[in-house]
Amino acid sequence: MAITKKHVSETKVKTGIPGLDDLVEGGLIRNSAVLIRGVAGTGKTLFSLQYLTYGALNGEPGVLLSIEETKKDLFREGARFGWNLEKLEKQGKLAIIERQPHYALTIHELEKTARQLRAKRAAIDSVPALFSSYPDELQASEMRSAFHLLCQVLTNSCDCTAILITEAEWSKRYPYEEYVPKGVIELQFKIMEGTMRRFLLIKKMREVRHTKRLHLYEITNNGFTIFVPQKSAGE
Amino acid sequence: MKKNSETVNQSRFFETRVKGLDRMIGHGVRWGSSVTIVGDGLEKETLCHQIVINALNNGLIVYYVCFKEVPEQLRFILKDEMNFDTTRYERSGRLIFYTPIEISSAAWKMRDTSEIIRILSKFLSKLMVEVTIKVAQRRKLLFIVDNVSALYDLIGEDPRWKDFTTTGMTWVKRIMGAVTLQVADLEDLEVAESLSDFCIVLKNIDGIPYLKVTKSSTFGWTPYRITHGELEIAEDFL
Repeated sequence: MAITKKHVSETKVKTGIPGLDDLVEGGLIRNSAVLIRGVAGTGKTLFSLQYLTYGALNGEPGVLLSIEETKKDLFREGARFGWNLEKLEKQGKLAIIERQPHYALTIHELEKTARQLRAKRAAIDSVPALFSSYPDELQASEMRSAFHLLCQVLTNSCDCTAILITEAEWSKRYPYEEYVPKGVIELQFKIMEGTMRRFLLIKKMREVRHTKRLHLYEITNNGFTIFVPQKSAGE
Repeated sequence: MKKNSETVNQSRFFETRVKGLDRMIGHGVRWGSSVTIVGDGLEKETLCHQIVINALNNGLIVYYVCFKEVPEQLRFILKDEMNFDTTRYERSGRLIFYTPIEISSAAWKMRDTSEIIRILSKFLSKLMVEVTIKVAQRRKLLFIVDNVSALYDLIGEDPRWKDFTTTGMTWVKRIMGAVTLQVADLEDLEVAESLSDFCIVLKNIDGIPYLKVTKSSTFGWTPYRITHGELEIAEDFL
């Protein structure tokens, strides 16, 4: 999918992932937080970049907190799919924040930037990387309340619809992750007679009637694409 | 589906012209090959009909041997499901339906192999004469056998039957130089693989329709979709 300008709904936020919005009654609920969980190579970072790029091109500026990947890496990653993230940043439609020396400073920077940009979308890549970056400041026992607070900051203070990237292993250690956000989308691998295939499962999406089966997806030249068995007229 | 480009394909490969499929096969089907479309639903017929229509539009002659439907039914299916009128092609001798109807009758039901082989031998001899003329005119042919699953039931039970199929297949491949496209049920995949150069397998896995080309392809299970009644490979997933 080449990301193009589309109508953005008031109550629903289009993900910009072809095929996904139809699976969740038109998009994510505005001002909600959705967890994207998967193992390495499932396209979690790409998912967040595509979500933010789509918003940036459609009047919804976005902010990305990237803990492990540098801006340069992300600009290069976006360019692979034809997305000029650098230009979007210069235009004030997208901001990429890197890790700050203290947790509180990082969150403050995120909030400040989101307000300056009047951001409508936010993404954290990733929650485990963020929380484990500050072992002196965040104890394991405080993780749940810190995570809850992070969701509150993103959706209320920042007025954003947020994507929170997490890892499968982290979720096993900290299962609270599933309870706090409105939605949980799981990205998986499956080997089918020697062929690797990627699948998406909407595990939870409050207030939405969503599908309950595995959906095939692929990372194509145009980004993250969900397989749709039947195309409608005009597609 | 490409239409109205009735030029005779003179390349080394027969192109199915089904979106994404020739890429999966590797440029197309080599002339003289025998291919079986194997599947568990009606979409194997959709794919077969699509290839037939594309072949006709590409200037080929199609011999359509059907053990399931009579020509009237096939004409109706092609018109109704694919919006394809066979009249023009039948009149010009470019589409020839054969229904060895006797096979559907008593001999077939009783599984009298001698009788079936006699009927098919007679049919094959008649076909040979016709086809030889076409080959002499250097026309490229597509030979359809739909559905061979019922015939496969007999293989292994009677050595005469195996001799007959081997002879028939050799004739089709070597003398006719045509592409033979057979349609079979999924349960006959093993037999189809042993008798064909490769198979195009259609299978629904966890609610997702996949296609795989056996033997000759480096691509694994690849999803496909039906758009406006036509099958197309989801090329993004290749």
